[in-house]
Amino acid sequence: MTCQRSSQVHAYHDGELDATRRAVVEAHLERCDECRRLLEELKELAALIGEAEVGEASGEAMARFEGAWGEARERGVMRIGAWLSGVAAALLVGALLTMPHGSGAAPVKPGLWEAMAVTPPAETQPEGNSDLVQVAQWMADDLSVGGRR
Amino acid sequence: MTSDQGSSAPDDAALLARINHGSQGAFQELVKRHGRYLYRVAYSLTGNAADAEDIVQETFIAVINSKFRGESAVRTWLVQILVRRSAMLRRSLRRLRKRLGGVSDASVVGNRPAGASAGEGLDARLDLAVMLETLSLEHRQVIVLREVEGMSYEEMATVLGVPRGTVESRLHRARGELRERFKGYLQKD
Repeated sequence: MTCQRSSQVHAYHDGELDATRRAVVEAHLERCDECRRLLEELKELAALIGEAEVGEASGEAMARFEGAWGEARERGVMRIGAWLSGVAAALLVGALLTMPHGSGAAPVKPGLWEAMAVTPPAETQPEGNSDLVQVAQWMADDLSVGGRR
Repeated sequence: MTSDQGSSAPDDAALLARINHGSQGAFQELVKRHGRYLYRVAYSLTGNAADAEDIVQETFIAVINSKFRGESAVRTWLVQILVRRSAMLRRSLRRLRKRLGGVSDASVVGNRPAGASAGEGLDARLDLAVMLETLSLEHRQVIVLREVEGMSYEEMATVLGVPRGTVESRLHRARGELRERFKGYLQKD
């Protein structure tokens, strides 16, 4: 294509031009054989594609799509489990680092900030994240010196 | 998980909100509304039923674990997820084919003549998958979204995550390739 307006012919064919630009292209098409041929081919190509065979979903496929519910829930539970394991590991490390070493000083419980530091950002947290933070806090309490038997 | 027993038909955004709150019934309704459409798009992009099913399945799984933010129409959002899944699958298959030394898998149909689906000859109904097989991923995407699904340039830009200008230039080049390839079909009197 050598005509500089050929790209506008595509947009004209696709109905993407406003009224003003449409009028400009229509006036151009009356004078330009190349662009008129392009427009004709675009219409024929669209018709050819429109007539082409496209796959249709079978009944089994549709049933499988509905089954995505169960699979998604399974993956979601596994993701929560993996996240909890990560939280527990991080809190264990945090508790070990902040534990006093036999000095007789009052035991230091891992504060809420440790729990919050390993809490993932809100948009990625599964529902009920405040419960999970509470569980993490309880685990931290258990791991502290004061919680040991 | 709860079963949705609502009597009036909620719109797609409401269905997604209910899905986020654990409504399996809402999810089933969403599948009923969009499953066949998404399958057609996936089939057009991949060229075979097995891959199309896998991609739609992954799309619906992603829908369940995602949150619709209302920045586009629901269908546009669904196709956006699907297109990404399809691109990932295509890249994986390409890597696999390279590793296997060019052995074609079931999805490769490009070596068949374009009119092979209903017999030889220019009047045979073409198989869309065959028509598009020689296109690059980007060109195939814009042809499917525009010519098969009738999306606007803006919608396509949203789905593909590229500027509108990129959509237009890809579409021009893709159409150029197809016009060249199917010259014989386009010049019938």
